[in-house]
Amino acid sequence: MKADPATLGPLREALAAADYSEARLAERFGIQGALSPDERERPFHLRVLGDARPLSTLVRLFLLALDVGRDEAAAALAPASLESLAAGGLLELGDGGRVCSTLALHPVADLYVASDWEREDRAPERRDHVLGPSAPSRSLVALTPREPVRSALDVGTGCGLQALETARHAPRVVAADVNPRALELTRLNAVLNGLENVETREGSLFDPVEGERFDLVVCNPPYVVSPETAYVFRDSGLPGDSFCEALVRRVPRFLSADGGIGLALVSWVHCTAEDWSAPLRRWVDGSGCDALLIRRHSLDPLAYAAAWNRILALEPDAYEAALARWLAYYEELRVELIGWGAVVLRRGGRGAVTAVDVPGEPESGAGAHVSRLLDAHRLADGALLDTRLALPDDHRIEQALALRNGQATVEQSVLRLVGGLPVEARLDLQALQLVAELDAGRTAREVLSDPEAGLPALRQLVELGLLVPAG
Amino acid sequence: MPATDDAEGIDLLRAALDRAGYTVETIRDTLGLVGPFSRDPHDVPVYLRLLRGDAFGTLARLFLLGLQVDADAARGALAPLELERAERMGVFAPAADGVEATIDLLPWNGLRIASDLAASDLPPTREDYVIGVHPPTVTLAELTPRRAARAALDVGTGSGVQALLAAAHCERAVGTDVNPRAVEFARFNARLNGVANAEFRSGDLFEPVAGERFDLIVCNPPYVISPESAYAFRDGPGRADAFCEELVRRSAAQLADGGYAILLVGWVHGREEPWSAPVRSWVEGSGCDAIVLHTASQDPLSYAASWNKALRWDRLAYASAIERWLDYDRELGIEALAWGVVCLRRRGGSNWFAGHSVGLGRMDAAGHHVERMFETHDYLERLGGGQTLLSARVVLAPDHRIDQTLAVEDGERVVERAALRLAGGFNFELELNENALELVSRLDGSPLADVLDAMGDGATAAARRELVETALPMVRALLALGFAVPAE
Repeated sequence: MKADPATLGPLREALAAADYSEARLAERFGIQGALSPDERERPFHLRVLGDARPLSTLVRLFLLALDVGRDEAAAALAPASLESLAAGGLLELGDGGRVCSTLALHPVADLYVASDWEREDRAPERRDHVLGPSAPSRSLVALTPREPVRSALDVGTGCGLQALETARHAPRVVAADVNPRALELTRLNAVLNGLENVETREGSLFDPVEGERFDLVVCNPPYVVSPETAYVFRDSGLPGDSFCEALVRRVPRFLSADGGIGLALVSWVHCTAEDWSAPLRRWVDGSGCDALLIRRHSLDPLAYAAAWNRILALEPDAYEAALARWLAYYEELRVELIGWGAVVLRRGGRGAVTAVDVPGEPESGAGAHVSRLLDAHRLADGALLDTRLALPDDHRIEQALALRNGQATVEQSVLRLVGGLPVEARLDLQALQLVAELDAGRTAREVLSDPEAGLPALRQLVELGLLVPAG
Repeated sequence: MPATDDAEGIDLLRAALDRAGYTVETIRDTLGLVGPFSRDPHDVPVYLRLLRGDAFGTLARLFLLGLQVDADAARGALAPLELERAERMGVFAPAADGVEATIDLLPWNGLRIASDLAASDLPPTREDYVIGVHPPTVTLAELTPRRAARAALDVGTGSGVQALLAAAHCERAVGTDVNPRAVEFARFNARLNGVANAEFRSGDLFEPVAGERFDLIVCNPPYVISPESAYAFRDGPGRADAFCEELVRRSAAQLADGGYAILLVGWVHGREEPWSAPVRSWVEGSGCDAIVLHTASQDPLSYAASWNKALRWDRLAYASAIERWLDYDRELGIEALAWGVVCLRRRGGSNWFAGHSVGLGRMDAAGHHVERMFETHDYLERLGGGQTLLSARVVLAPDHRIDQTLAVEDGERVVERAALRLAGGFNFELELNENALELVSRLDGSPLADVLDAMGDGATAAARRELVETALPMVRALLALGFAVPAE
């Protein structure tokens, strides 16, 4: 694969001209997210696509792994030429005048991201398989604060999605990966998207950037806790969660001293007797950073093993063998629960730690919420009662109520953030009254009859970003 | 197919199931289910690890997962029923690794329902396949009014499940089925559940009950509109929706006065035509009031693809099925395919028709809500059209809830969205705009004219006229959906 601007520039033009975007595909074909090369759905997909060229041609080539006629491909890809795309390794010009793509090409927001082909019903074939924009990878994109920074690092860049996103708000981005094939794809994707500020470096984790510091570090590592070593993108090969622990402990050294932020997706082992955040608190203790610990969910070993091996379920023997292997491994390590989520570190704080449960998918505003939750650490306890606090613009209160004789009985009130991190807190009637009065300009000390008793609940709302300093 | 001649053997099977605690609760707790049980091939290895070697675990392997177990384990789990006797009864067969069950047995809604073995995601192998409890079964059971009555009829009874449920609140229940295997399964299930007042007759639709009248008629028919005739449980005879039309007309004719019919149906309509038009013509002159709950309409391609999902493993079969279904729709000029529920109530005098487009996903028992909808429609009918509604005294139904989303701006609460729903039963919502929210909060049982007077207090005459014009259809909709009821 060659990352040749003279070839990929015209390809970008062709994709843009055809409006090859997530939104357009959902609108035109009404099958959002379902366009994958699942052979079983092919008859349905082909009928839905119909003859809406050039969009249908692009979908066949780049999302469904189908071959198309040479003339049809040439028309859809102009001004890029088939010959140059073939010379660059993206297309294969087969016998009988058919053309197919060696890579999948995913539209992600306003980016195009090439990756190896993936199929819902078949495990990847090569060990150096480069995964496309997965759901966890998109979560990390959403969680990352998008304030302008001087420099950024994407550790384990894979297809380069994080690096591409970061290249829009950092003049200099380093994308590192131990898998040379991943770096090839990252370079291709940077050129395809016209981004010139992504530098690739080969090596394990932070090795290629030893001694350097960055304002932003993002990492979607092979965090799965398993006995496997089959895939670079998934399996670290280290026991239990020691890989994630080592990674998290290493991050601070690569963060700018004046508030550099690092985000890593992680899995960790915890036991039923302690809070899910206990192991993560140990990992970040003494890091010189404020930390935000985000949990999406915890699974028991059986559910975790089943979830990660689902793709094998069509081969019952292989599935069964994998479950047996994974469960024996957990047994040996005495694993009770496996958590999944993200660790966010900001250098230069006083070591404050917040842990939040976020069961839902983060939306595009989550990065701003992450910044807000980190900022909340700066509000010292003592000041909280006398600080003017307000509800943020992106809060909503959801209530279930019943009306009797004109009187409303509120059964439940939930305060939540919208459009980003889906955090929420239940409010009783006093708490509801309190937040409204705070928002109207009073302080907690003025409103609460027993301010000290009300402090923990107040602090919780501030830590969750549900109350912010006014003005 | 299980034999029904060994009644005592069936009783012994029930004793074994009771002893092992083979219930919905045990299945849910043991397998850690949040929804209903389904035999997804992905989950089977997981379930196997959660099942122990006790009697329940053995019965679940046999009857829930369709797996073989060794003969000794089966013997232990089936006691006091002997294995040999179970084989003679046709519910067990010798297999390579011991024995296997020849039927599925799913506990549901206080019953245990035997059916043909579910073939996970694959299409069933025989035309006279008897399907077990599946999502439409649940929908129909939830929508059926559970009032005490004399006689109930379950048309196309299949496993007999609806008839057995009806037998719990009716003096007697009759189930009919054209598929003799279904009748055998239904009789087996009646005995297995100790239901003595359900009777099953072999024959097509209403043929076995000609001339009889019923207080309750339920039917979960083969309502799929397709060129196929592969499965008795899925594919209706006749062209397009002729079968469902016949079902609706015949049900209306055999209802006793005041009796209800709840029928799951599919029908076709024009792209530009209201979805309710064809069904309206079916019930015209039937002597019944009708409420049609429309679940959804699909275009021919989406419909064909979703009903042939089980064929996806065989690409050619899937592609050719879609082709065949689309050809069929084209030939018959079918533009949109709808499905939903027709609810009928026989009543003398001039009858009314109402249609509501509502999502009918998973819900709780809602038979009482169906009955309430009939009552509120009667009330609207008595009031007549126009401004007569102004004299009505209306309150929100006691089981209503309002879900509202609000934001606080400078200490003031601003309602962004509000929707009315019911706590339990029907699961649909009615969006309330600002005016509607104020209106419902003022419904206190005084005449609507007074409510609107108070609401428009101080407004100009024109504004008050407009208030009345927008409020009347709103209150009509509240009553029609059963969100509001006449004040006592």
